[in-house]
Amino acid sequence: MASIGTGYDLSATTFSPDGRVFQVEYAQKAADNSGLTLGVCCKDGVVLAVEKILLSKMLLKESGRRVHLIDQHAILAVAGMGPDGRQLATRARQECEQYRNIFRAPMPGHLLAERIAGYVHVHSLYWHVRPFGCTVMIGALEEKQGPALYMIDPSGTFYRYYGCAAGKGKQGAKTGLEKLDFRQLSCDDALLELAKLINEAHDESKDKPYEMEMIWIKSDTGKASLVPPNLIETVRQRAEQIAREEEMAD
Amino acid sequence: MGDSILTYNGGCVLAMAGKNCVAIAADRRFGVQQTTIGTDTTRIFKINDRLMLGLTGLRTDVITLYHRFVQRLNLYRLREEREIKPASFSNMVASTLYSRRFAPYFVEPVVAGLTEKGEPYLCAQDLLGAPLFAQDFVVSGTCAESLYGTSETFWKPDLSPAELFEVTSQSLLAAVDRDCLSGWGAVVHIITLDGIETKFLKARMD
Repeated sequence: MASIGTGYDLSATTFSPDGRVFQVEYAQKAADNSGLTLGVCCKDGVVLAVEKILLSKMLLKESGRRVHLIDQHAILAVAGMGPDGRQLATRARQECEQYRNIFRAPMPGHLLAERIAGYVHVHSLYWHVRPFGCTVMIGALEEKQGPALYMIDPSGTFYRYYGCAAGKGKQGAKTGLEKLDFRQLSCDDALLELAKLINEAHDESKDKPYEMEMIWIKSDTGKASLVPPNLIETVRQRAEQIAREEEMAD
Repeated sequence: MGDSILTYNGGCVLAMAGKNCVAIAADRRFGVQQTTIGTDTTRIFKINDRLMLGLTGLRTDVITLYHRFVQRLNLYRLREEREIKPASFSNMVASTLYSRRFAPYFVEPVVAGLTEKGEPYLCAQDLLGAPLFAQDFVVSGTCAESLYGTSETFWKPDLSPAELFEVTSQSLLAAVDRDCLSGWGAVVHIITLDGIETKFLKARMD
């Protein structure tokens, strides 16, 4: 939709007459321009998955990471501009470290999400900085509340979710996520579900080949870790196989 | 007189651990070097139903730090919507003190509380925030050495709240009687999972 933001879209410090900040909306478009990013809060942990489009055959796999470990109990995935997301991950790490220095305890997920959302928001208040062009998902394991998932968009708005999607194909992915029963879903099952959703969203003919990055925190270990490449490969093969079977069944 | 700013106002605090309980006790003297000008001072402050903080040293810094910690605690409660754990609070005290590494607060705090499971937590720190964790007792103040002596003699493990009160009171009174800068009354708080009980001791008023 070609919004006529003439004049009102030149800086983040200007509202349009209908109450919109166009720069922030343009930032949101930048965030939507990435591969599909998914987050799921399961009964025993949080899983984040990213469809990383491989722009060139010369690209080394596993570089240009879009999922990040923030602390032992917190993870972050980026949808949108990679460098902006990297900056937010660094900031999140600093917040968690400082919290540990003062309170000798892991930073609660809702506080971390609030701080990062505040940081993102503050970049939409001034003329001399531009808003972050990425949506981030933060997964955290809290002592009392258990697993929690938050999504922060470039305006600084954040909510807590059972499941969320960002990037290209997010509408279809959201429909797919709504079908899942989060109360019963385990992390291992979630891996396969996310692989299936990414596989469905990816259009073989139009888009370039992609790599899947996944990261999770499981309640039993209590520690965040990248999902091992061989496990990702297994679920990806299985997802593609299921897709082929469904196609042949039609 | 006045060899150390930490002995200017006098006073001491003792905290001991029992079975699922802690006791924290202090004298009530407030003086300016040798002159006593107050006998009803509060050195031990309640943080929540399971956690108390005792502060010895320069009285003005005690009061300032108490207000600072109340401020930070209130913000913590609002943001996190829960009560702080003893270990986290103790670390917060330590990092607050260390933030003034080159112009310190002249206080030596004692943190005494119970964890969620009811286990005793004791921590004493020096004026720069160096923590000392103990399973039996921690002391602070002008008669710290005497308190170490009496506590070492009287303390034994797994004391019930009533026994702990007795041991803490006797250790404190015996130690402050040998120190001219401490004494003039005593107060003991016993923290159990059921709450905090406060008792004032009848002490030598000299």
